[in-house]
Amino acid sequence: MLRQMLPDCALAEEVLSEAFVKLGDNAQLLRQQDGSLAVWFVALARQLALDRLRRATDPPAPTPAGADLLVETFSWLPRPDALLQLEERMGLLKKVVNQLPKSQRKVVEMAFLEGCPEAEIATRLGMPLARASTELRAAMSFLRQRLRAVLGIWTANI
Amino acid sequence: MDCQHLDESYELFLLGTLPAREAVEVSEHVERGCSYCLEHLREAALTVYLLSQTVRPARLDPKLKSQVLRQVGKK
Repeated sequence: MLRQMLPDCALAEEVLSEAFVKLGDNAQLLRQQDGSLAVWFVALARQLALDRLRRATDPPAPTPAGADLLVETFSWLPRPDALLQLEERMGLLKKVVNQLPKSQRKVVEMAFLEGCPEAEIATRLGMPLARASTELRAAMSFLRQRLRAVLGIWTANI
Repeated sequence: MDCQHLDESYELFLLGTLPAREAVEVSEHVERGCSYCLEHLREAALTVYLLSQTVRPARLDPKLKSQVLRQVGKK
């Protein structure tokens, strides 16, 4: 993932090292949590990579609201057994991701790999903001519904 | 708490692509421990994790593992 996000291998390895050091720093806290360590680690590594990309722009791009919260808190993490269930069906779920229409796949890649906000996606792809927003949200809705179907879960209305 | 208007926002919040006003709202709910938002974020986190597993894997420098272990060990 980092290699896809960052311009060169050395930088990707530097970010990976940084992520492992932060993992070590938080090890004690993480041990006390009920959330998935793998999900937190992926979110952390992605966040560190996006920080590098944002700092490299002129002027540096702002960090989105809530980004720090995801690294500093753990209450949003799924339980390890939920992740295990996902890992067991990963082959099928990867096929689901490949079912996304090409236009939606593109906006998802820009959002995931580059952290592009909807407005930037619209500008770069030369489309109206409303269309970029619709494509991204439709893709996420598609993945959410398919994930629920494959994993047999439905989030209860609380 | 009625948070259903945020149902389409959780994945985008985790990706950091949600417009600032909505992102601040989700952040506030997380900080308050809103059970609806946390439950939906846990589900959205699975979707985002799935995306991380669909990118092409890269080969890493074999020396990296020992370098990382040394760095973590120094801490």
